[in-house]
Amino acid sequence: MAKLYQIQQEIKKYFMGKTPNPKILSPQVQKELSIHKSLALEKINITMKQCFPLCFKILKDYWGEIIVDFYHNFPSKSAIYLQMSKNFSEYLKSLVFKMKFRKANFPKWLNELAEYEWAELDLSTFHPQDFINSERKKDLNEGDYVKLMKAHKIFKFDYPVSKIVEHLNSQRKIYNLAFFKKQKETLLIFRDKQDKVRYFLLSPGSYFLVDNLRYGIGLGDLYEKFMDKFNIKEKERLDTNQKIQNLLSNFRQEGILT
Amino acid sequence: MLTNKLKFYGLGIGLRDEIQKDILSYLEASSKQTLIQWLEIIPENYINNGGLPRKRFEEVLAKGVPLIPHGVNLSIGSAPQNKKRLEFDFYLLKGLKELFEEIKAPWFSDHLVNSRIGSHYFQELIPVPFTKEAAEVVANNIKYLEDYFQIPFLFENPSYYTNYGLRELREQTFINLVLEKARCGFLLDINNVLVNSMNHKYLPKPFLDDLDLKKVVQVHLGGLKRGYTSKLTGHKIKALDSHGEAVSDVALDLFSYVIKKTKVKAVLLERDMNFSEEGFLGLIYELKQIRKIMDSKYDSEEENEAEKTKLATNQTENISSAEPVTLETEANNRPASSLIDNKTADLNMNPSSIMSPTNSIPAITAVDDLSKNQLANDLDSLNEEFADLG
Ligand SMILES: [Fe+2]
Repeated sequence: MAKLYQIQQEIKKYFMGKTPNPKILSPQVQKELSIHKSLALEKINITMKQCFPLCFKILKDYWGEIIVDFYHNFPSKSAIYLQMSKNFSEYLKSLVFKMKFRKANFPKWLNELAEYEWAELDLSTFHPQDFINSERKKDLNEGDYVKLMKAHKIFKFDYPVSKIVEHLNSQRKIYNLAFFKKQKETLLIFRDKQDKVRYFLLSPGSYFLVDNLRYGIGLGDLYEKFMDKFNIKEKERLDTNQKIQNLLSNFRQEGILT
Repeated sequence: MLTNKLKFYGLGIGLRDEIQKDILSYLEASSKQTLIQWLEIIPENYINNGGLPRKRFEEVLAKGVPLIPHGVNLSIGSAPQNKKRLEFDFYLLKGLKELFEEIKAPWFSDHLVNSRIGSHYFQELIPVPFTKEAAEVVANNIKYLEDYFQIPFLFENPSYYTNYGLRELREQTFINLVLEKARCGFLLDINNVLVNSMNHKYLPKPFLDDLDLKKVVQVHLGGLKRGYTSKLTGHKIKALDSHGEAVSDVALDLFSYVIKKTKVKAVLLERDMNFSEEGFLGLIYELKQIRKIMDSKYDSEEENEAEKTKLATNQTENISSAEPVTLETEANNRPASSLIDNKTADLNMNPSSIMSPTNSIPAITAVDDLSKNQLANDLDSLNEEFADLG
């Protein structure tokens, strides 16, 4: 009789769509095991549909095949159920390069959409809260130290993901998927004070600020860095300072800035 | 780890997102006298949470109702490579430990299965073969986990759809062997016994008789779905442990059979899906049914104890009236039984209009006396009787 370890290695092969040793797992046993595998696939199917509703909208016709392919090739390495969704987003990102789905002609922005949907999920559920009451002071001073909350992600997308998301979320009929052409955008996706996940579209200037705020910085240093980077002339500095202040107050109101 | 000193928790239900709100308002309304005395949580869902899930969990914590964790991914059936100890997933273990401390878990449990092979999780409770080697592996894993968490561990008998064509040990012998080697507690899932008895053709009561029921700390009572077909091969089974249906009368009968034989610390109504709007009232109705069985058991126990006390008192009085006699019973820990206070009257309405009434099924007792030789023939009639399940 095979050792337990060997049996489990064969089970693993079976679950990953490979051919197990029939001397260890007979064809009858494989049939019986297919009940367990079928149940696992059903669970994953339901969960991934819920976690990636927009990707599901555009992959609907291939969804069943995709779930099986995912299960065979991207088994989760985390016991936390939700982390499987991270795996799934990785899998979806690889989908456009997969020969077997070549005919399907998936949109080129699928990987970015998958990344966006995972970010939404991740930010809404993970990361213990690190809010401190950012409304305790009205104005920021140059001496203040400012930092973005942990519950955020920044993405530089090649496609207009924010527009794609908006479109897919609307109940309208889905356009020809090729409608969305390359158009770079930078998104700050964050969890707000009400625990809703939202995003800001970032201009090059605001991106520079946000990028510095991720690791924390003194406000005075931030102003200075900004002026250097964008060569702001002396006479425009006061005005620019004010604009930066406004942006930061906005962030504070949303609760994403300490 | 010893389990006999554990407190009596009574009747509980699984905390699931779909019914959390209902549970909390029910607890609010029923105060201390409640059909829901504790809640079971799937701990993997509460590790490192932030945002709304964490806030929702904090609402539950604030209620102060006891929480008991029941995991799905510890994979106590995973075999180590070579003779070395199994490498556990330390991210999981650390997260669980923090959570167990936070909720002051009296014990934790998981299934007698293998859900992880190597570093891969397969999102399914894959059965372990019933062999002496597997019992040894499982027992070693359990000992390690108890040592790590420092609270008692219970394993649950799972429903299984293959036994790998291996017949080294019978299922009940295997379970008893693990209990003996690991010296841990047992979470008896009665519906799983029923499902397995239907799929693997045995009678549930003799099976229960063979188990070391003294080790049962907790009981799961869930519903089954008749028939399931593998989407991959078309392979069919007679019953599926679905957690999406009402507890059958057969399972309730088995439950009453079990608690006459052993004292359990906690009973769970296990339901994970198919919650409809009126579903919560349906759950309350089911809880009442279970409570009734528990109460009748304890009532008769109380009567027995009262008898004993009377007897003992008489005897003692004869010897010395100075020494008072106290006989402790588990019933002392039990909240008063005819419990529901007036505030919950709304929730206690008769749900017969909501749930399809289950016909009372004479099934198990009727076939109880049959000899095991007749089993193959009789199983079909048994299954026909199961067919009447709502
Ligand atoms: Fe269970």
